[in-house]
Amino acid sequence: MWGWLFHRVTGIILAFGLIYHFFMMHFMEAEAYSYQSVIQRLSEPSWKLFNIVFLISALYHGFYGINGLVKEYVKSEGLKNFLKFFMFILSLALAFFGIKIVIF
Amino acid sequence: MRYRWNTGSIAWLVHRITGIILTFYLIAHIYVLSHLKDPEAYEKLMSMMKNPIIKFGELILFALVLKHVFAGIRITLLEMGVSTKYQKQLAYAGALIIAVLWFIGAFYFLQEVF
Amino acid sequence: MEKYYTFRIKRYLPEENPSERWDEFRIKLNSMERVLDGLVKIKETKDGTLTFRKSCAHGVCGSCAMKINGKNRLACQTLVKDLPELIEIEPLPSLPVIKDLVVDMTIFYEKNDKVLPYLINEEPPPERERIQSPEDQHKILESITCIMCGSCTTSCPVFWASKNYLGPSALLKAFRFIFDTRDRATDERLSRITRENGIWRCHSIFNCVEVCPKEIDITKHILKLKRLAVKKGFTGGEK
Repeated sequence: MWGWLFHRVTGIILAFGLIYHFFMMHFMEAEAYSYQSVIQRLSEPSWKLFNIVFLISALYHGFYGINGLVKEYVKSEGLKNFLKFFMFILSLALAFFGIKIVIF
Repeated sequence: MRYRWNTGSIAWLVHRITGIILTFYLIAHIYVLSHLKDPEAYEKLMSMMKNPIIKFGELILFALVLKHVFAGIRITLLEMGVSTKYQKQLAYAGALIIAVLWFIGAFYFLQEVF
Repeated sequence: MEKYYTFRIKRYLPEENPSERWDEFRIKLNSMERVLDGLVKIKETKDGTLTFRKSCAHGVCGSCAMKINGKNRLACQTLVKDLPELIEIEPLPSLPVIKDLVVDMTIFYEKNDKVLPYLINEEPPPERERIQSPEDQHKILESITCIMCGSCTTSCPVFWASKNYLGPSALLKAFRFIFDTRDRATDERLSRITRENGIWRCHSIFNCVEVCPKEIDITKHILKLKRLAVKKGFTGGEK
C-alpha cells in the first residue's frame, strides 16, 4: 500500500516539478541554462533541496512503475528477482550520482 | 490476441508506454549530467543541443511528458474519489488540455529557436 | 425483418485437429434475434459439432459469455441488429479452450474462492433473519447482481499478462462481502486482497466496466476498496 501511495505522491510532486523544470530548462533563452547560470542557481540551498527531492521522486516513481511491469510480465521467478535487484541497484546508483552533482 | 480498444484501455496503454520511455530518458539524462563537472564538457553538450533534430526531439519529449502527466492525474483523481462516471470525460478533457498546452509550448519553443 | 448474417466462428476440435480454424456460416435471422439464436440455428441446421454453453438464454445465468466482434458479451443479450453483417465469434480470451466456444473456467472460480465468497458471522443467528437496513443493502446492491459470467476478468489486460491477478470479478465479490453490514470478516478479506496480486494490480483500465452484462461499474468498486485499504492502513505486506 505504501508503495502504491508513494507512487501517487511522487507523481504529484513530479507533475508540478516538471512544469517548472521544463519551463526553466527548455523554454527560456539559452542564457538561462548557460554553465554560469546553472552553477549560480545550484549554489542556493533551497534550489539544491528542490532538485534532490525532484530527483528522488523521479527515480522512485519511474522505477516503481517499471517494477510493476516486471511483476506483471516476467514469468520466470529467477529473471524477475534479478531484474528487481538490478533496478534497485541502478536507481540507487543514479540517485547517488544525481545528488552528488547537485551538492557539489 | 485481438480485442477491441476503449477510451480507458487506450489511456492506459499511452500512460504505460510514455512511462517506460520517460524512465529510460531519465536514466540517460542523469547519466549524461553526471559527466558535466567542467565548463568545457558542458558547453560542448549545450552546443550539441542546438541541433534542430535534438530540438524536435525535445518537442516530442514535451508531448510524452504531457500525456503521461495528464493520464496520471486522471487515474489519481479517480482513485481519490472523482466518480467513475466521468472517466471518459476526464480522458477527453485531458487530451484537449494536452493538445492546447503542447501547441503553446511548441510555439514558444520554436520562437526561441528561430 | 429477416436478413442474412455471416457467422465467422473460431473452431477448436481437439479430437480432430490440434490447431484451431475459422468456419463461416451464412444464415438468415430476424434482426431482433440474438447471436445465441444464430448459434443454435447453425448447430441445428449446418454443423451439429458446434459446441457452446447456454442455459437460461435471457441474461441471468452467465453461461453464454464469449467474444463477439472483439468484445466480450453474452450471446443471448446481443441483438444481431446491433452488429454488422459479418459477426466474428471467439471463446472468452486467455482461458484454456476445451472445445470451440467452451472455455475452462476453473481459474476464474478459484479466484472467487480466494476471497471467501460467503457470509462469515460467528454471532448466534437471530430468530428470524440478520437485519439489514435498506440503506445498508443499497451499498452492496450493484455488487450483488454479478452473474459470474467471466466477461470482466477475461477482458482485463492485467489478467491476460498475469494469471495470478485476482481479477475484477473476485475483487467485486470481495467488495460484496466487505461492505455487507452483516459480515464480520472484513479484515481477513482485506488482507487477502491487499496482497501481491490484489487490488493494487488494478490500473483502472475500465475494460471490465465496458463488458459487464449487468452494467456493474466494477472499477468504481475496486477504487472504493483501495480507499478503504488506505484508510485502514492495510499494507498487506506488498505494494
